[in-house]
Amino acid sequence: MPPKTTMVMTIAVRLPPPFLLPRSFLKQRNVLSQRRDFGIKSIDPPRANRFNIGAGLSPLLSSSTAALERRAKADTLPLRTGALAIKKGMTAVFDTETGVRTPCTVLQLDRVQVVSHKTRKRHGYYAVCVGYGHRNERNVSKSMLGHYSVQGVSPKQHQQEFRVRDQKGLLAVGEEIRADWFMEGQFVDTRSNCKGKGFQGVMKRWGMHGQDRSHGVSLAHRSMGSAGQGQGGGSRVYPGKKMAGRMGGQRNTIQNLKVLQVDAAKGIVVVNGAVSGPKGCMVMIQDALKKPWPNVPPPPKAAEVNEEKGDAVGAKQ
Amino acid sequence: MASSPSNMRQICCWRSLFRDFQNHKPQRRSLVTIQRGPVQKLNLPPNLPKQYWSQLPARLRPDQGKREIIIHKPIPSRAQTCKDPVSEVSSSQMALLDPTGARKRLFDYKNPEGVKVGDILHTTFKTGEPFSGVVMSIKSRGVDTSVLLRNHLTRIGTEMQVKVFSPLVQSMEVAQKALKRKRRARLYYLRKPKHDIGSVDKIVAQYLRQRALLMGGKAKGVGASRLRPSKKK
Repeated sequence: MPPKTTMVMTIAVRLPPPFLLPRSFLKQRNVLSQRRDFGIKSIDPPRANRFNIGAGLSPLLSSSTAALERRAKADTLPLRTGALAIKKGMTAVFDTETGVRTPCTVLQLDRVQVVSHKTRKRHGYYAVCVGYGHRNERNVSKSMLGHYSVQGVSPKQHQQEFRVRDQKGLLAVGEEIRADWFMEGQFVDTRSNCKGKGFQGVMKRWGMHGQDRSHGVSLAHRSMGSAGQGQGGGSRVYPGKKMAGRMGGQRNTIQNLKVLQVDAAKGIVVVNGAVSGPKGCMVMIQDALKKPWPNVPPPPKAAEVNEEKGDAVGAKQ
Repeated sequence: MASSPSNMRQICCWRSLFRDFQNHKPQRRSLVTIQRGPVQKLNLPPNLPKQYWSQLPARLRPDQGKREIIIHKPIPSRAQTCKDPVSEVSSSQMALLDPTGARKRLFDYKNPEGVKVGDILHTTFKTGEPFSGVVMSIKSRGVDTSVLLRNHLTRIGTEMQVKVFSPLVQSMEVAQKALKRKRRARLYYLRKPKHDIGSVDKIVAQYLRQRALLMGGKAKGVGASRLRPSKKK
């Protein structure tokens, strides 16, 4: 919108013809004042949507609503949140009856709390933001400190979110997740960053066979063979061709690990087998996707546990 | 082609003379360079409902004011109560599998009577035949401690890794101590023909005979009861 121009000067006496007047006098003075006006928008604005609006029409397949419905229908979203833990190391558990030895990983939960929620209305999906441990406030950015301040949780060392199916899965903010969140015998998935291997050749990284020790091969015993066809294949290397490069250090999920032992007071969760990553790495534990959802009894409230232990410090101040 | 230059010049002259009598259009400049006056401030609509506040710039909101950042106290730590969870799990397992602590003492490296590399160890199992051999290595890993035994069966070098605390292991006895302390932790050189001891069956058989004499007639499985993990209480 161009600014409105108004003649401010009003001339009472009749002036001589303009060509006798000096140019500077004739020049319009620019005494404009811009009005800043802000409009208040409606909270619920009518949405102009050309597609599929009307009663009885199914939502678009490519919309977030449809995506959420599909996830619910496929039953691939856990009913309850997971927990964060630190990998402490591996040992073995023996069955005294059968004598079977089971290698296991020991994970420890420490000060795991719900920090915030993600909701369908604001974020498009339901998730529980979970924090682990404690971090000195001097090492936390001010924006995050404000977030923790509002949520009523101490600054956390690690933070991750766990998607849940619906609103029922949103554990209250500030609630502690202890090791008894998981039940002995249930199955869990663990997610963690695996060990970084650095720049590796194709034999280690992709399991290629390398080349001959002899038969005229020189300086190429561990290298890949051909990177693709010539003229028939377009005379180019296709995107995604497996080659040497950085290996490891990426997120890895291990599915269906059985929970062998649980100790809420010490925060210990022992799972069957190996978990990716070095000792001391952060591990996300959540109910296994490919097993029936476990029927874990709701653990006692933090206040009750603290009373039992004789602690007076609660989650919220 | 061209008209006479004198006529053209006259017309040009008139236009310049009458230019000032023409209607003046307001001078237009681009929006960017136009000089703006002071911004006139509009007052907020009074009693703006709270749900509209989010649309206002932060400094104009009626509730504007610096909110104090509160650092909440952390909840009590579980990791502080249990600093080494792996050995915690391991020791709880050991208490179950080896309640007397005899097996643990046998493989305690501080114990001079304990098993050392180079000793000849006789092991019996709850299932299967006994196995004896030279201790090539001891891996101390809490409940997961294991020994590597080497012997010759039918003149073929045979090695067996035995989990010390496994409930399937019935007994473990030192048939013969090494004459001299070995200067290696792992005696993998025993695999070389030059150093291979061969079968230890004779030494073990002699030990079993001697033990039977001492214990009074019973030849097999006597020492086992001492080390056998008792049933759960």
